[in-house]
Amino acid sequence: MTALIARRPPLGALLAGLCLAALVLSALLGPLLSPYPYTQTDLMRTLAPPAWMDGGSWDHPLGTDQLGRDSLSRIFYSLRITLIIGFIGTAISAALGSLLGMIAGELRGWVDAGVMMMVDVQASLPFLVFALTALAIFGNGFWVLLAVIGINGWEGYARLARGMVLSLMHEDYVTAARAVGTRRWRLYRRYLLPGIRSAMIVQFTVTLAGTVLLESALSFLGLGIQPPVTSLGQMLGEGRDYLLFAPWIALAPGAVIVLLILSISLLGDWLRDLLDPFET
Amino acid sequence: MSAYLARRLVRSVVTLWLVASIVFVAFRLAGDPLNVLLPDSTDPITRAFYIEKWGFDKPLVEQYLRYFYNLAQGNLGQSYVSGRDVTAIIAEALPNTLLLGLTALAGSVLLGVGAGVVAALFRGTVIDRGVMLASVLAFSVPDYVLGVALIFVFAVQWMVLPSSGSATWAHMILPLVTIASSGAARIARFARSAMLDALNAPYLRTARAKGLREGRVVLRHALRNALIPIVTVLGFQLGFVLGGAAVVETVFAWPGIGRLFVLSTAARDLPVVQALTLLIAAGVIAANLAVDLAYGWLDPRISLSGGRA
Amino acid sequence: MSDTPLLKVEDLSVRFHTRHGAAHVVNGISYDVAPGEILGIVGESGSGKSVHTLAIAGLLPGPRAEVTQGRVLFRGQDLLALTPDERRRLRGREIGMVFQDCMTSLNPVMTVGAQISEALVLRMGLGRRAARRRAAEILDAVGVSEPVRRLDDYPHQLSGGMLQRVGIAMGICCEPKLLIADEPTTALDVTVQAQILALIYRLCREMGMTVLLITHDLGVVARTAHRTAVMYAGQLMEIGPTASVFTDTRSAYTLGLLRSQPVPGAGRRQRLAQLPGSPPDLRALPSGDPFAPRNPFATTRDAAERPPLRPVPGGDPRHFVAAWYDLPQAFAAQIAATGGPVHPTDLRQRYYPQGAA
Repeated sequence: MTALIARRPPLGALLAGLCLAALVLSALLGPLLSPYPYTQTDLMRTLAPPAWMDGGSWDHPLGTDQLGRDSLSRIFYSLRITLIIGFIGTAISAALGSLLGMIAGELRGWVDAGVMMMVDVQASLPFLVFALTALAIFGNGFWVLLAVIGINGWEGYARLARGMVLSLMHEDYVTAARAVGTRRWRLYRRYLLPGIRSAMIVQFTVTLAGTVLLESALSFLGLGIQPPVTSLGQMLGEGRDYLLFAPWIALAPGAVIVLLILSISLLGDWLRDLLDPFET
Repeated sequence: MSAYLARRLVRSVVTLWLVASIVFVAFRLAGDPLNVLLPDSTDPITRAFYIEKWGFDKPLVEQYLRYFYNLAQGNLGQSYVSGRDVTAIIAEALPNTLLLGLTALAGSVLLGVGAGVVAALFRGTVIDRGVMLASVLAFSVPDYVLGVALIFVFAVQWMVLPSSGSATWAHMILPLVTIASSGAARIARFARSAMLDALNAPYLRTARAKGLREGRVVLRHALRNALIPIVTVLGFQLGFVLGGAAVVETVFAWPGIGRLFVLSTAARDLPVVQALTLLIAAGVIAANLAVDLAYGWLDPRISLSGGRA
Repeated sequence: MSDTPLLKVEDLSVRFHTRHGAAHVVNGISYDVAPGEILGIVGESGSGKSVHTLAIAGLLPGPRAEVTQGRVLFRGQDLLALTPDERRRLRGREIGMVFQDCMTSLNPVMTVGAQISEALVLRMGLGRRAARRRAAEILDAVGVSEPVRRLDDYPHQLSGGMLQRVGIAMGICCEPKLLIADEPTTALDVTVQAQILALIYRLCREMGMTVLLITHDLGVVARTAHRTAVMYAGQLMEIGPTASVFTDTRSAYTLGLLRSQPVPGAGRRQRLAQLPGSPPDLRALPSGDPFAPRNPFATTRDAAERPPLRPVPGGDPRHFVAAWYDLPQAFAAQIAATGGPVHPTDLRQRYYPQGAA
C-alpha cells in the first residue's frame, strides 16, 4: 500500500499534470498575458494567420478572427470561462449528488425510492439531450446554463454516496459508534467522508471532464455561452465557418480543448489506479 | 427469468412515464409558452385562437391526461414553427439518424471489442500500449473537435470527401468516423479489462488443462465470459450515439433528429423538442431493457436467481 | 507397479519474473513416479508444489514464468522439448488435472455437461450424443447423483462437493495416465473431503492412473498417498514411502509440519508447535538449506551448502532426505541433554494407529 503511494507517477500522468497546471495557470494569469482585450476588434487586420504562417506577424501570435480579434487573447479568456464553469458545475453536481445520495441512504423508504427513480430518469437521458431540452424550455440564459451544467453528473455522486452510507451502516464500528450515541453528522464526518474520499476524487475528475465537454458542446452549438462572452467551444463553433480561409480560428481552440480533456482524463486514470488498488 | 424481467419491464415503463411527466411539468413551469412563441404585438383574437388550438385553456389535470392520451395515439402535436405534424417531421429525420447511428454503433462495437480483446491478448506489449494510447486519444478528442478537424483535413485540405449534407454514401464517411471513434475507444478500454479478467480466471486454466486449442480457449471460454460485462456498455453506447448525434449531425449538416433537435432548441419549437426528448428517452430505456435481456441470455447465473449475483 | 517410471522429473527449476526481480519458485527438484502410484506432495503455500505441476503440464502463466533448467520425462519423452501444440495434445488425454476450488475453476456460463463433453468431442473424437452419454457415465462414476439431469446444470447450481466431483470428472474423462490433483479437497468440509479422497484412491486403482496429489494437509496424504514428498522454498526436502516419512521423519521441516498439526483424540491440552520464523524470500535464497535459519538442528554446513537429496542412513532404502544433519541423532543428543521432547518415531501413533498402511 505505501509502496503504491510512494510509486513515482508514470510519464503520461506527469506530462498530463504539467499540461493541466500550465493550462490552469494561463487561465488564471490570462488577463496579464493577453496582448489585447479579448473583445477588441481590428477591422484592418481580420483573418490574420498565426505568426509562423505566411503573412502572419508576432502582433497576433495565433492570428485574428473575422472581426480582427486576437486569437491568443480570446483563448486565454475562453479557457478561463471554460475552467470556471467546469469547476463550479462539477462542485455543484458533487454537492447535490452526494447530499441526495446520503439522504436517500439515511432515510431509506420512499425518499430512497424517489431519489433512485430520479437517478434512473437521469440515466435514461443522454446528458446533452437533457441539456438541450432544458435550454429549449427555459431559454438559454447564463443561469439556466449553469444550472444545467451543475446538474450534469449528479447521479454518479448520488449512487456513490448512497452505497457508502448503506454499507457503512452495517459496519461494526459504526454500530458501536451509534450505540454510544455519536451524532449523525459527526458519524459522517468521522467515518463516511474518509472512506468515500478517494472514490469522490476519481468521480470528480470524471465529472470535470464531462462538464467541460458539455459546456463546450453547448457553446459550440450556439446554445451555451453567448457572445460577447466566449468559451473554447464557442470559438470553435464560430471558427467552423472560416475553415476554408482561416482554419486557425477553429483549430487553435480545438487543440486547447483536446489538451485539457486529455490531461484531465490521464490524471483521472492515474488517480484511480493510485487510490483504488483493487481496480485493474 | 420472468420475475426478473417483469421487474425490469415495470421499472422501464415507470421511468418513461416519469420522463414524460417531468417534461410536461417543465413545460408548464416555463411560463406561458405563448409569450415565447408569439410576438408581443399579437392581437387578442389570434392569441385566443392559439390558446384554444394548443389547449392551454383547459385545467392542468385535463391537459395532463390529454397529453398522455395524445402520446398514446402517436399524436405529438404540430410544430410551432412550421405548423406541420411533429410525427411527420420526425419520420423524415429519424431514418437518417438510424442509418448513421446504427452503422456507427455496429462499427464501434466491432472495432472496440476487437481492439480491446487483441490488446488483452497481447497485454503489456507494443500492441497493447498502442491500442490503449489510441483509445485515450480518441476518447479525449470531443466529437465536435474531431468533426471540424476531419472536415479541415479531408474536405478543405485534401478535398477528397464532402464536408456536409447527405446526398451520397461518401457524405456518410466523416460523420461515421466521428461517431464511431469515441465509441470504439470507450468500448475498447472496457473490453480490454473484461477480457483480462476472463483470461486470468481459474476456469481458463481448466479449459487449457483439457488440451483445448488456444483459439477455442480464447473464443469459447474467455470471450464468452468477457461479453457479459461488455454488453452493459452497449446500453450506454446507444445513449452516447443519440446524444452525440446532436453535435455530429450539426457539424456535418446531416438531416437527422440530432440536428433537428438543435435547430428546434434554438427556435424553441417546444412540441418538436418534447417529442424528441421522449423518443430518445424511450430509445435509451428500450436499449437498456434489451441489454438486460441479453445479459440474462448470456449469463445463466441471472435468470434463475432472480437478480444479479 | 512396474519399474519404469511414468513420470520422471529431473533437476526442474522455475523462475518468476516479478517487478522486484526474479523469484526462484522451484529450485532443482527431482523425483519419479511409478505407474499406478499416488505421490502426495506437501508444503505450505509458496513452496512451489503447485507451480512445478503447472510446469509439468505446460500451463505456467505467460511470459512471467519460465522453466530455467531440468527435464520432465513422461513415458520416456522430455515434455520440455516438445512444441506447445504437442504439449497441448498431451493435456487432457495423457495428463489430466483437477484444480482447487471448483467454484471458480469451472466456466460459469457453460453447463456441466457441455464442459465435460467438450473434451470428449474435441479430444476423443466422440460424437455429440455419444459424448453426452459418456459424460453422464463419468458423472455417475464420480458419485454425482442423477447424472443425466446434472448435465444441463450450470456450475452455480451445484454444491461445493458436487462441483469438485465434476472437476474430477473433467480431469479423468479422457482417461489420462497421469492425474495432477492440485488441492482437490481444500475448499470442502471434512466429510466431503474424505469422500473425494476415497474417490481419487478408487479411480487410481480401477483405472491404473498415476496421481500427483498436491496438498498442504498432511492428513490427506497420510490417508491416500503411497509415497510422500515434502517441499519447502521450491526444494524437495524429503521424499519416501508415506509410512516411512511419517514414522521415521528425517527432515526437520517435515517434523515441524507434523508437530503443527492437531492429533485426533489427543484432547484439548495438546500443544501445537509453531515453526519459528518465516519462509525465505524467493528472490534472495540463501546458498545453503533454505530451512536452515529456522531449524534448531541445522549444522553450519547446512547453512553454507545446499544438501543434496540422499538415502536416509539406516532407514527405508526408498526414503530420501535433503539434510547434512542427522535428525534421529540430533534428537537423541537433545533428549540426553534436556530430557526434552518426544522422539519423532512416536509420531507414528498419530497417523498410523494400527502400524503401517
